[in-house]
Parts: sequence; structure tokens; C-alpha cells
Amino acid sequence: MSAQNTPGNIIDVTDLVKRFGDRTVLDGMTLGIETGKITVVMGGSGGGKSTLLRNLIGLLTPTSGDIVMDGVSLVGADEAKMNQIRRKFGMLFQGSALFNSMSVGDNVALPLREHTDLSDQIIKIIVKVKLELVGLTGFEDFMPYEISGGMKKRVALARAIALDPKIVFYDEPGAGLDPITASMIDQLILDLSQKLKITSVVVTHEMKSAFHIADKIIVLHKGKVIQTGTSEEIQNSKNPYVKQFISGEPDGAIPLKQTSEEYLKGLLET
Amino acid sequence: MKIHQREKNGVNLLEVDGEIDFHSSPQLREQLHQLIDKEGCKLIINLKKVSYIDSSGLATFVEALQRVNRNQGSLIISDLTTPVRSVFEIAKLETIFTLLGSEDEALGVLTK
Repeated sequence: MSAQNTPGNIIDVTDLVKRFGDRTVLDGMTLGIETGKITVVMGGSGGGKSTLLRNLIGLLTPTSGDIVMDGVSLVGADEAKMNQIRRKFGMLFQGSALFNSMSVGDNVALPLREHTDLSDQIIKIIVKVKLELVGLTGFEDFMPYEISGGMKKRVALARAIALDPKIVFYDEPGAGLDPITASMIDQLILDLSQKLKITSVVVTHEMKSAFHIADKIIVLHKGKVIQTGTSEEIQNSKNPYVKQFISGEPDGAIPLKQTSEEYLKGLLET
Repeated sequence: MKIHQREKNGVNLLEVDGEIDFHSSPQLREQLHQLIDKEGCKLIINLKKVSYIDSSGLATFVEALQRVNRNQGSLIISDLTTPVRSVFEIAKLETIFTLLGSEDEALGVLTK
């Protein structure tokens, strides 16, 4: 499964197709994620963001195409190979996904206990260091229900970086947070990226956040990449889909609803 | 990762060669324990040939320092490469350790 990445890239996605029955969600998607940079994947609902992310972390298997991550192809990788690949990345889930029955410290320690043979003493020290990195020194013994939503996100981030991954995937990191807390999470993503030289892949539709943190933005629409560029390039895009997405217009190049013809055709097909 | 151990003027010198990561740090930990679990131990860890250290390596040194302090001993880490030093700095650990530029400098401090 050894494969080559494009120089400068840590992930290469080539002609990725994902179908669920007759429905094509990823329609020949090709993109590259640069090593050590923050890449934001943006697009409307149904554009393919979440499906792309699930394919990247191995939760879904592509219908066709290839994903090469840090010199290893995910396509056709067996379970042992996938475990090896999973060590390369951390994932910040949208809802933080902390275990409520476990303390903050035990949540952060979980991947270390699952994937390494390190002693408990060493794991305790690593947990303290990771919590300091996300600004939560001294919170080891708190339970998830005793801390705020923003703090939970930070704990989840400490857990995502517990194994010193090369890549961290963020699924809608600002979702469900107030604007101030969401900005703090953005700042944390920037800090960790700069300090730890981590490659960050952020899936979001929060425009302000995307423009603030991104080195590169990839815009998806209908399962394809429609534009790639810096924050400035995307903000000045001439692409009607990108323009409509940024301005948040209810109707435009991206139709608000199906045409009557499509509706009638759909009725006859059922 | 390889570890070379020698002694000079009553000071234990440990030279680590290679990467200190989740796989290799338990071996380093075991060797450190043998040296530092003695009253008044003096130890220099030379990291000249270490190009990469992860969180487990960092934690191994923190634990070693805890034990050295408990035994009224001394621990100096010397010859840190730039990437290794930056890992100490990111975790804000550069102030709790004595980090010196060379082994000779460290020997000078411990044999005063």
C-alpha cells in the first residue's frame, strides 16, 4: 500500500468517487493537502464535506479513486494498515465526543492507553502537558458535565493531539459555540498548527472562521472541487457558486429548490 | 534508538542516539530508572544525536526529574538540537530543566 504523495503534500485525493446506491456524493474529487498548513474545506450542506472527511479518516470506503496519506494509500488497506494510518492523525469531532463517565484526564489519556504500552505515570504527565497546550491546566479531575461546551472542545482537542499526530481533522469546530468561544477555538487551531507544525484540515461552513485561519481554502459543490485558493482569492472569487455561498444569498447559481420539471420527473421515478 | 552510558568523575553520562518516541521511550525510561534511583545521583543526558522527541520522551524526562529531585540528585540535559529544544519550549518545560549547551559545561557544573 506504499504510495507517493505530491511533493509538499501530506494528503493527495485523486478522482475520489463515493456513491450511496444511485446517489453520487463525491463525484471525481481531486485535491491536495499541504504539509504543515491549515486547509479549510468549505461548502454547503450536501456538497460532500462530511463524506470527504469520512473517507479521509477511513470511516467510509471510496467507490473509486485514491487517497494517499503520508505515503500510504488508504484504498485497499487492511485493518492492520488502517491502524497504522490512524496513528498519523487526530480527529476533533463536531460534538466533542467525550466519554461522560470518564474524567477529563481519562478522556485525554484514552488513546495513549489504547495505542501505546506507556506506563500510567508517563501517561499522566503527557495528559498534563496536552491540557496545558489547550489552556486547561489543572482540569484533569473534572467530569465533562462540569465544564462548558468550549472547554469540552478543548479537551477533545487535547485528546486529538495525545498521540502527537501529524494531521488533525476538525469537523465543524465552531458548531454550537458562542462567537467568542468559537474564536478562541480558531486561535487554538492557529496556535497548535504553528507550534506543533501540525497539518490541519478544517471542515466548516463558518465563513468568518475559514477566512481567519486558512492558509488554503477548498470549496466543494455537488461532490466536486469548484475552487481552491487563499482566503483573499476565495473572497474575490468570480465563480457564481462561490460568490453565492460567501454572500449567503438564498437563491442564485445554487438553486433554492428543484425546478417543476425535476419535481415531476422525480414523482414519476418513484 | 541507542543509548551509550559511561561515567566520568562520579557523573553518569547518557548519550542518546536516534528518535525518542512512543516505541523507544520505555527503554530509555528503564535505563534512567537504574541510574537515578540512588541518593544524590548525578546525571547528564546528552541529546546531541537526537533529532526527534515526542510527548512520551518529554514525559520520560519529566518523570526522571521528579525522581532525581526526590533523591536529592542532579540532572542536566545537554546538547539539545533545535527541533528537540523547541519541543521543550512548546510544553513550557525549558525552565524546570537545566538545559546546557555542551556536555563539558554540564560536567563543570556537576563536578564543582
